[in-house]
Amino acid sequence: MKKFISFLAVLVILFHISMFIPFISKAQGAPAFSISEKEVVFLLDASKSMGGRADSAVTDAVRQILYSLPSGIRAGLVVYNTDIQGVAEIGSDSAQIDRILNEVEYTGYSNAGAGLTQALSLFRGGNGTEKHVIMVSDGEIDMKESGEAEASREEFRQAARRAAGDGIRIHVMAVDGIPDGDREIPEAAELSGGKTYREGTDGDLAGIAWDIVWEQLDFPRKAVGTMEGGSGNFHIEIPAGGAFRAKVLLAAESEMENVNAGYAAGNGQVTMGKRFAVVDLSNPGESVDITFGLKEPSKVKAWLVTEYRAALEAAVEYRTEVIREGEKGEAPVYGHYMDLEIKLSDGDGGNTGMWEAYEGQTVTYTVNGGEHTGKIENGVIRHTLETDGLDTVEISVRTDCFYESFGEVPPVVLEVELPPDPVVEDEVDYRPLWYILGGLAAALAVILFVWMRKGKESLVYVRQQGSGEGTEKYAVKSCQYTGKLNLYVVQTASGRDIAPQTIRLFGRKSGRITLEWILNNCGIRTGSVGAGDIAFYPGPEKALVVMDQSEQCTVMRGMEILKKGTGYPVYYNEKLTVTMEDGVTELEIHYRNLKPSEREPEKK
Amino acid sequence: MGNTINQTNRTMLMETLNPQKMDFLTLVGDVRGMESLSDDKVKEIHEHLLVRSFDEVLEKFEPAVYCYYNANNQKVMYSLEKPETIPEEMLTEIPLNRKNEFLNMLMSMIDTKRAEGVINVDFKFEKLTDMISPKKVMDDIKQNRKELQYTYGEYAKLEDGDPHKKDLADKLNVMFEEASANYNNVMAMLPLAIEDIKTRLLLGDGTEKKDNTPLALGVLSMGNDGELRVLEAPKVETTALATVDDNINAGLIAALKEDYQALNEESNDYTEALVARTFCPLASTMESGIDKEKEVANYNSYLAFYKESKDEFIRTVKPLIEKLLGIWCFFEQYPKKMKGMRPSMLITNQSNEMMAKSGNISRLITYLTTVNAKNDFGNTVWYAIVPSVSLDQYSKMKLTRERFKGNTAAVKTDVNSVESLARLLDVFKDYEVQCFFSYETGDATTFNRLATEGIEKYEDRCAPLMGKAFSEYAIPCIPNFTIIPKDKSGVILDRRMVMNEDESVELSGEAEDVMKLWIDGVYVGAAYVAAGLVAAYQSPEYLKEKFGRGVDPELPGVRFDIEADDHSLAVRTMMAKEITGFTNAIKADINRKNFGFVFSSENAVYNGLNVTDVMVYKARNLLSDGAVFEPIYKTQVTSYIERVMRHGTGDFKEDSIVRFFSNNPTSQKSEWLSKRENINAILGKGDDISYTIDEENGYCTLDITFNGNVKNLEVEINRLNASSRV
Repeated sequence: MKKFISFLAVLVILFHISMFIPFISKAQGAPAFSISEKEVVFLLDASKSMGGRADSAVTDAVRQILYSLPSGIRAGLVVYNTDIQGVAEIGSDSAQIDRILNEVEYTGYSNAGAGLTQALSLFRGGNGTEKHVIMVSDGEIDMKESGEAEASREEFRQAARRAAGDGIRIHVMAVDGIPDGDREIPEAAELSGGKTYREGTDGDLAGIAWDIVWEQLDFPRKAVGTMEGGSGNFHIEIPAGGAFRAKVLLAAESEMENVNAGYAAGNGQVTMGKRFAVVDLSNPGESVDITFGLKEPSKVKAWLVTEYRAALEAAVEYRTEVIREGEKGEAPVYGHYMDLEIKLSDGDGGNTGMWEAYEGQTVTYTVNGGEHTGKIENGVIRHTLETDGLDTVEISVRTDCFYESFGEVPPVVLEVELPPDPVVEDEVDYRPLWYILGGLAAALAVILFVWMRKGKESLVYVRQQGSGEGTEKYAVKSCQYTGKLNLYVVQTASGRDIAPQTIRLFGRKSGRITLEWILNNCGIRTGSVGAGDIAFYPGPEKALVVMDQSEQCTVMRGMEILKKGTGYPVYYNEKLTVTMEDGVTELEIHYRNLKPSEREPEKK
Repeated sequence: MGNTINQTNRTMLMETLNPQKMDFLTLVGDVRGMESLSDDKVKEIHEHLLVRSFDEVLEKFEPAVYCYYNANNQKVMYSLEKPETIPEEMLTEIPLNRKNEFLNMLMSMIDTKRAEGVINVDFKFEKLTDMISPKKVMDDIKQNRKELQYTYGEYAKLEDGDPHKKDLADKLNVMFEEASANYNNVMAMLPLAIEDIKTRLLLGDGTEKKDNTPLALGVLSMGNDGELRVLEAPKVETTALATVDDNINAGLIAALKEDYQALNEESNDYTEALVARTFCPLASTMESGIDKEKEVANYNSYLAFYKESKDEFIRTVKPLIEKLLGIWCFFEQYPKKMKGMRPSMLITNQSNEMMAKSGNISRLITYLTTVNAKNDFGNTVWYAIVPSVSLDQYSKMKLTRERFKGNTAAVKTDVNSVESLARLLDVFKDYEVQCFFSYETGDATTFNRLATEGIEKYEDRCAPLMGKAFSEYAIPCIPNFTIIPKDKSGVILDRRMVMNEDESVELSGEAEDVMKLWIDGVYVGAAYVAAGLVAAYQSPEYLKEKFGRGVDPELPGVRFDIEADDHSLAVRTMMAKEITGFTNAIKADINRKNFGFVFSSENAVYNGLNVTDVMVYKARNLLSDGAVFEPIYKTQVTSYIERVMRHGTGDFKEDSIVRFFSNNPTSQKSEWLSKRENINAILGKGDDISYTIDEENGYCTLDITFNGNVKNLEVEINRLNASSRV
C-alpha cells in the first residue's frame, strides 16, 4: 500500500559524465482527463508531394501516436494517394498498422476525398465513443484531371460535413504547412471541431504528435520526469496491485538510441522511433528501469500510463434515528439512513484501496443519478443518504480525475435492507421520582447549609445542674478541652475483655468529638453500636458536655439518664455509663483532671 | 489545725481464699451510675472481708479444701473450689485452720526456725515434716484420748445433778468435737488404722526391733463391702492404762460409737470399732480371729493409699497454704500483743485477674473512691498486695473465651499476669495505693537464687512497669521466702511391712520400701512480708518499741525511711535468716541500681546482739529519675501530706492553703517542723516543704524536699462553687 502512496513514480537518474544536472518536475493539482472510449483513424496522405521528406518523420509521428495509445483507444489506418493504398480496420493491432506504414510508398496524386470517405467508414463505435481522424497531409487535394480533382475536393467536403455531422473530429498534421490556396483540409478540420497543426508553425512533427495526443486524446497519464543530458536512466516504480498494463512514454528533443528497459512483467516490448520510445508492459512488476542514449544532448520527458480493471465497492451501515417523537402512546417517527463508504479496488484483491494515495482529493460520484462530490478520507468517500422509499442504491464514480486509467468502472448497486425499527417499550413516567429526588437534594442542601452555619456557630444547649428543665446555650469555641477520659468497657457482645484505655482531651481543638472517634482512637472495636451519635463538647468551667443524639443508646451521668439531644456538663471525677444500641455493650467513662505536670505532650 | 491520720496501713490483698465465701466484687455489686458506695455497703464489705489478725482470716474465710473419691481409679481427689456437680453428701470439707496438720506444721516451722535463728542449710526440716506422718497423728490422738478418758472418768463418777458434772459435760463436748474431726471421714481414719495395725502386729512397737514371739491379734475391716477390710480382735491387751475401770471404758466406748454413728450416715462396724479402739483401746474386748497375711497386705495398702492421698492433698492445697502463710506472715510482722495502729487487711477473696477485668475494675474504682477520696481516712487503703506475679513480663490476662486455639505454652494457672497487675496499678495510682508485688513462688525466686544470679533478672521482668505514670506505686518485692526448700521437702511416712518365713511381721529395711512424699517446696511471697513490715512500722507504738525514745506517739511512720541509718537493723522482719548473705558484688549491684524492695539475709549485730532475722536492704518503687529508683516513703509522705492538707484546707481552699503553710506556730507546717527530731516525723531533718500557687491554672504546687531531693505535689485549688458552674 505504501507503494501506492508513492504513486508518483520515483525517478532515479544515474548521471553520465556528460550529463547536465537533471531537473525533476512534479505533477501539480488535480487533473481532468478524458476517459471516454475512443476510436482513432490515421489518414495518411501518401502522394508524391509527401515523399519529398528524406526522413521518416511522417510515419514516425504516426507511430508515436499509435504506440502511445492505451488499450481504451482503438486505432485504424487509411493510406491514400490517387486511390486508397492501404487500410487497417479500427482495432487492428499496432504491429499491423506499423507494417502498413512501413510499406507506404509516396507516389501519385492525393485523393483526399476518397481517403476521408474511407476513413469515416472505418468507425464502429456508437454515440458514446469519441471518434478522431488524424489526417497527415501537406494540405493538397489533387488529381490528374481537374475534374477529378474537383470531384475529390467535393467528396472531401461532403465527407467533412458528414464527419462533422457524426461527431467525428478531424485533426490535421499539416506537413510543411499548408499552402494558402488549399483550404479544404483546414476547413474540414475546423468544420468537424478538430484542429490543424502546422509543421513549422506549431513545431515539428514529433512535437505535434505529442500535442495531438495530449490535447485531443487526453487519456490519463502521469508525467514522471524530465531530464536533460546525453543519456540517462529512469527508475520508475509502478504502482503495484492490479495494473494490467503500463506504458512508459519517452519524448526526446533529439534522436534517441540504445533504449533499453529492465523490468519484471508478464510481457514487455520496447518500441522506439527517432525521438520517442515506448516501453509497453503487460502485468507489470514493481518497477521498470529504462536506460537511453541521445545523439545530441537534449531534454527527455517521461510519462507513465497505467491501466487497471477496477471495481467500485461500497460498504453500508444502516442507521435509524428518531425524526419526531411520537405523540402519547404512539411510536416515534424514524428516519433511516445508509452510511456508505465508497472505495475503488482492483476487483481481484490485488489492491483494495486504490484511493489511499489520493487523500483529500475531491471526487465526483453519483448516487441514484444524483451527482455529488466528496473528499477521499482514509481511502474512502463517505456518503449518507436517506433510504426511505428506496429499494436499491446505484453508485458510480467518475475516474477522470485520476492519473490512472481504470477503464469502464461499472456502477455498484446495493439492495436496501432496512433494519427493523426499535421496539418502543411503554414509557415509564419518571417525573415523580425526579420530583422526589429534587426535593431530597434541596432538603439536603438546606440541612448542609444549616449544619455549616451551626458548625460555624457551634452552639450547644446545656442543661444546668439543679435547674430543673432549664437549658442554657453557649458557644463551644469559647471553651477548651481539659482533663482526660478513662474508658472501661464493662461488657461487650462477644464477651471479650478489653483493657481499660485513657484518652487525653487536654489540648485538643475545640469542637465536637464523638464517642466513636474516641473508641477508634483507643483501638476499641465495638462495631456499629451507635457510638457515633454520642457527642462531646468542651464546656465552661472545665466541664465536658456530653450529648446523646442516638436512638437506642442510654447514657447516664451518675444515676441520671440523659435526655436525647441535650447537653449535660460532666465535671472532674464524675462518670458516665453508656449502654450502646445493641443493649449489651456497656462502657464506663470517667472524666479525670490532668495535673499541670501531666499536660506536657506525651512522649512516644 | 493539727490534723493527723491515724490509719496509714490498711492493705488490700488481691487473692482468693475461699470461693464459697463472699468476695469483693459480689459485695460491691452493681456500680452503674454510682460515684461511691454507701456507708452501709462499706460496712458490709468490711464485715466480710476486713481482717485484723490471722485468726480472723481463718474465722471469716474458713479456708478449706474439698475431698471426694473417684471409684473408677480408686483415688481420692481434692479441690480448692467446691465441686458443684458432686452431691453434698459425697463431699468432705477439710478445713485449713490451725488444727490442720499441714498448715500447723508449716507455721511451726517458721516459728521454730525463727526461734533457732539458723539458716536453711542448717535447719532440720525433717523434724517438722514428720508432723504430717501417721505416727504424729497417732501421737496427738494418744494425748487427746488420755485426756478424754480421764475427763469421762471424772464425769462418770459424779452423780447426775451435780453442777460440776455439767461443767465436765461441756468440756467433754468440746473434746468430742475435736476428736470427731478425726473420725468424720475415712481419710482421717487412715493414719489411725495404719498405726493401729502396726501397734497390734508389732505389739505396739513402732521400732524396728525384731520380736519373733507369735502374736495374738485381731482382724480389721474397713467396712462390710469396703476394700480396706481390717478386723481387730485382740485377745490380750496389756498397757499402762490397764488399771482404768472397765465400766468407765464401756461408757466411753458407747458414747464414741454413738457419736460416730450420728456423724456418719453410712457407718460400718469396722470403722466404728476402729474409732472406739483408737480413743479407748483398753476396753476393746471384741472376739475375733486374725489373719496376719491379710493384715500386712492391708497395712501396706493403707500406707500406699495414705501416701497417694497425701500427695494429692499437698499438691492441691499448697497454693492456698502459701497464701495463708503469706497472710500469717503479714500479720506476724506486727507483734501480737501490741496495741496501736495494728495493720488491717482487706482480702478481696477475688483473683487479681478477675478484679482487673474491665467490667470489674470500675467496682474497685468505686470502692476506692469511697474510702480513699473522702476526708474520712479511717478506711483509706494505703497498700495493696499482689503476690504470685508471672515471671513472664509479657504475660497477658486470660481471654474470657479462647475462640481460636492459640500457641500459648503451658501457663501456670495460679499466677497473676503482668497485664492484670498493670491494670490495677493504673487504678491504684489514682487513689495513691502503693502496691507491693512479688513474683511467683518457687525455686527460681528464693534468696539462694538472688544470691547467685543477682537482681538483673527482676529488673528485666519489671521493665514493662517502668516509665509509666503508675510506676511510683509499683513496689517489686524480692526475694520470696522459703518455708521448706524444695530439696528438703521429703516426708517419710513409714515403711512397708513384710512377713518373714516364720510368719513373724516386721517393717522392711529396704530403701524402696520407705514411703516418702515430697512437698516440693513451700514458699511465701515477699510482698506479704514487705507489706506487713511497712504496715507495721506505720504504727508509732511499733516504732517506739523498736527505737524507744524519739518517737512521736501520734504521727504515723509514713516518713520512716527504713534504708536510713540503722533503721533496717532495728526494724526487721519476723522471718528467720535463710542464707549466709549476698556477695559484695551482688550488694554493690543492688546499691548501684537501688532497685526494688529487697530483703537481705545478712550477718549483723545490733545493740550487741546477733541479728538472726531477714532485714530490708532496699525499699524502692519503680519510679526512676534515670539513675536510681525512688524510696517508697516519699510516695507515702506525699500522699499523707496531700490527704492531711485536703482535710485541713477544706479541699484545697486557697486561703486555707496559705494558712496551712504559714509560719504561725499553730499551722500544720509549723507543727510538723516542731517534731522533726522524731523518727516518725512527717518532715524530718533536712526536709522542707514550700508551695507556689499557679493562679492561672488554679493549681498549688508543693515542693517537698527530702534530704535535698525535691518531689512535687500538685493539687488543684478549690475555686469552684455551684453558682459558677453552668
